[in-house]
Amino acid sequence: MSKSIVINPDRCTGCKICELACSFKHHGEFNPSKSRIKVNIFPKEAFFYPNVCSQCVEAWCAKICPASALKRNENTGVIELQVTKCVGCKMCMQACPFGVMGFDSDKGISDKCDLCGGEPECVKYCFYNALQYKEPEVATSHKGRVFAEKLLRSYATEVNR
Amino acid sequence: MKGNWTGWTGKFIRVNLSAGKIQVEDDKPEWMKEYWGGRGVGIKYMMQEVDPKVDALSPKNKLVFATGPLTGTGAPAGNRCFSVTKSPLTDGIANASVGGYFGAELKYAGYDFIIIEGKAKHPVYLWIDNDNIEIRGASPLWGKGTQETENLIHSATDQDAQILSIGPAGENLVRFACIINGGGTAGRAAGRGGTGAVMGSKNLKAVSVRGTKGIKVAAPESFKKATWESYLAYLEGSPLMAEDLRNYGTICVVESCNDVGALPTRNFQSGVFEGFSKIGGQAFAANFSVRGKFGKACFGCHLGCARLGRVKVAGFDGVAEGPEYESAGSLGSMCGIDDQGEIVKAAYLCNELGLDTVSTGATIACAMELFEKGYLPEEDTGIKLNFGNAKALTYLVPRIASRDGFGRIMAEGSYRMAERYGHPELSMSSKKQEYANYDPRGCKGLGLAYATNNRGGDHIRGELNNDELFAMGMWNRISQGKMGTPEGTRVPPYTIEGKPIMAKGVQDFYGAIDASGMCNFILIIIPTQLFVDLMVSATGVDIGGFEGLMRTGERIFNLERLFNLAAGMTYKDDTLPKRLLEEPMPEGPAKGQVVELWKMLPEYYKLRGWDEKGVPTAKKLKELNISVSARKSN
Repeated sequence: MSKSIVINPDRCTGCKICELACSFKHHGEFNPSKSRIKVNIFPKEAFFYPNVCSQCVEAWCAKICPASALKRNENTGVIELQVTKCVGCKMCMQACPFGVMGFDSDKGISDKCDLCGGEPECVKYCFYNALQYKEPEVATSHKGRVFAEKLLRSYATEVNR
Repeated sequence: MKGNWTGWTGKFIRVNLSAGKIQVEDDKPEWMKEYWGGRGVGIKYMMQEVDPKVDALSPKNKLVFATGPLTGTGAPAGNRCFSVTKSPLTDGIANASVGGYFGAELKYAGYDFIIIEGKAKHPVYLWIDNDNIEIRGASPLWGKGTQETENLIHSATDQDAQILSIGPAGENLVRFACIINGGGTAGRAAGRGGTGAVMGSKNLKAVSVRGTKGIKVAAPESFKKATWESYLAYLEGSPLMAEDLRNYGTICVVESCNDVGALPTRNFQSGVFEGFSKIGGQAFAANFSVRGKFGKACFGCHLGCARLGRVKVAGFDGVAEGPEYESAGSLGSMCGIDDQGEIVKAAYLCNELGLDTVSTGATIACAMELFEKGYLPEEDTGIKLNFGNAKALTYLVPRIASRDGFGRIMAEGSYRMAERYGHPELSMSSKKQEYANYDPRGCKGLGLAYATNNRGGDHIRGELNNDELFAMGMWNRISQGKMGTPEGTRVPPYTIEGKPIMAKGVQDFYGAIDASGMCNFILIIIPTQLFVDLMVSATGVDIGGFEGLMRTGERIFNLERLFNLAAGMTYKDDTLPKRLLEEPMPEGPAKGQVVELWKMLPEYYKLRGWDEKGVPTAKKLKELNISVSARKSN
């Protein structure tokens, strides 16, 4: 299975450098509103969530597209936007349940994450490793580890007694 | 440059609240080249358009919210926005910088700065939605804390809007009221000098902005390279900055500063605090932090020095930011208080009510000393105001914000309060602004900076303490390897030799930092050439290399000096309280030290190109290309 961007909200600090890196790479300007990844900040709950396309296996954006402009690249797993086919109807934006399909008003077409061809810029610029580029099989292993550590603490106390 | 701006957006907003008039104007290329932005562009317009003698709280004062050319770009921590105005605390220039997310959002809306003029007839807020700018009624918001103000404005405008607001303290014209981005919960403060009171005096409750435009840079590839190298240079730089600040936030400085005997304790009666470990970074991480070692960042910053902690206080039970080191020191050791829970509560209340934590804590500390020495009677304070009375914090903070009871007197700041009780020398301030938390008897160069900084007692317009206390090698970098000490070795803190040139250099460097839009936490660590590269590749302007960069800072510093002199300040205001000049530090590593200010000042003036009365000479002004043309009448 191809790699995807794995998000660990516990490590995100809400700096939005990923948004700057993404918009600069793909649009040549610093502009969070054009970034394909968007950080949601909930300070009251101390929760930070960078939201980005997870390249769904059954991609609703592709299913709805009347122009067949969204296709999976079987080699990389990326749902790719074929810019010449896109008619700018924005239905993919409606269909995506995660709200990560973007739109480029300058070009009049959709705008979506393409994993930067296998080297995602947002991951490179995430200095806290809240974003990682990993195989889905091990995507949430960090959560299991955190849980296991809690368990470990109770066992360790038992052993040390 | 017209129509083809990079780094800058090329436009600014002028709002006259008296007339209800909003205009979008073009930046003046020649001014932007010389003053860049932030603190620089702020003083340029203040000097040009405001009579320095006006009452700071009158409609004739103006308030400039200014970003820099690197704000909102990918430059590390390019997030700063300055509030520049005449200070109601010092009656000189005020410039208070805020991080958070506001500055970048203003740039994305298409503006480099905002000039606020006049006074609205009733409470208002400004709503900037890209090209649409409105003055909206804010009467229902008046009296609200900064968090509720943000909540209500978010509901009325856009959830993604970024907001600067004042709390009741600003409305009630507390002389050290601040401006907050993020509300009480995620509060970042334009803290010092009472800029919040100036907003209050104009009936301006808040500025809300939403922007979806982009910022371009002149040389994308060079900029990207300089940005990446800056990120890495920071992480590989000073261990204290990179590791401790990331893991513990600025509050970890409590321990460091106590170790070197410069942690202001009981209104600067000592430089060591026996309860330091209870109020420091380790204690906060263990008992209050809700995210372990992960903090909260300002926009575009890979350091992320803010902390989120659990706060439980009357009317609030939740998560909130802080306290920063300066809050922990001012509300903690300065007041002899080692109860971190009470400090956390008070710092939260300051953010929510819109009070500068530094001046608040230092004013309480001053009142405590006045009380203990018998100069301030209990019938005035309403409580026994001894050092160490932790409950006094949450008792006094709301009263200061509402000018209720003794709060009415404290709201004037420590100097005016101490003067009222016959002992102004007990106000630990310069130019009536209270000091940050570094006792200059333990770092004498900083003492000279405290005395000469244009916005009064303050560390962050020239942090000589970075080298004198923390061995960061900053002066060595700024002097291009000619002076100072390399990282890891302290510049001798108790000597005065070499301090005047160091003070000038560091102050000028900070002037440039404050005009760039980047946070000083990054720029004081990375190689100076990267700062030049970032500025040039973003703006496309030849800034004249590092020399030109320093000259920009010097230009800003001198123009601020001219403002202060025209406002009525003199060389006599370049001083420190008697305690720091004459009373030897009683204990700790700096035991026996005083600040020999008078031995440093003449050399400092000379190096600055000022006459013996501290007035910039015509020659110096010409060299810096400072000319103050006829002031625009308004």
